[in-house]
Amino acid sequence: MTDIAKAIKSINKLAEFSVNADDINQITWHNGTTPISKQDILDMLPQVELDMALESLRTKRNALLTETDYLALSDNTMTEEVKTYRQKLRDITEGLTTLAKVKKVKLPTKP
Amino acid sequence: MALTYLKSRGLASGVGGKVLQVVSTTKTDSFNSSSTSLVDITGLSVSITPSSASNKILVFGSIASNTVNGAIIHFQLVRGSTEIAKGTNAYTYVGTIGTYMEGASANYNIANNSFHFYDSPSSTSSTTYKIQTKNNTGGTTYINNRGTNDSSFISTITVVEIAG
Repeated sequence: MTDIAKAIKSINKLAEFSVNADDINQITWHNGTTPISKQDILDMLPQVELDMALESLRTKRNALLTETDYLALSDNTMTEEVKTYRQKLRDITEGLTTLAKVKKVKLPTKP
Repeated sequence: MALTYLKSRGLASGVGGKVLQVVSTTKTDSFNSSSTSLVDITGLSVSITPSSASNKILVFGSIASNTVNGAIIHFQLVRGSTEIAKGTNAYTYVGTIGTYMEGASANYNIANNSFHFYDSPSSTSSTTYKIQTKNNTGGTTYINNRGTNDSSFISTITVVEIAG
């Protein structure tokens, strides 16, 4: 669990802090960093969770694209099924504006 | 070459090399810090009271960590408030051990940082050993996780009192 650290960095990229057990009540601010209110951190968490989910999805998508990269070499003619599959992968994050939408995503089946 | 084995159970109390006591702490939850100066890793400390000032303390540590691309994590072993087990050159990056993360893999790797150090505290008072950390870039150091909410590991510190 790292959401609080990421939320703080999203609010203030230069913030120096420690957070134990990912507990909002166990944050220590270091080296003159102005404390960020608990509410501001909590307000940022949904965006952080969405960003993390999208990052995870992109990682999976990129791995699947890599699996079929060899089919995109210039000396090979891709089938329409493969072209469609790869395009679906590239478009997979389009319109994903909420965590719920990200969680509903189903990766396309490799032809 | 002949090897000699010494079995401590056959030794009388106080004989050099005998293991007298072992104390260990395991941290199982996360600790994330972006401090550029050394800070305690909460819950990663251990206290021991040597039975003689001539006894030695063997300290073992293992820390699971990750950080952001291009950052160095420093780990520093501290006895009480004194930094021990550190490099002597006056360079930028000095500590007990360090880990550097680079490239895309920095987002996913877990570095397992281990050390041991043979200490002479010269004390019979309760002595606390702890591990501190800092990140040279101000990027986040992730302890016991890899910066994503899919990982949970452990870190440990163990001290062994050995008859001097």
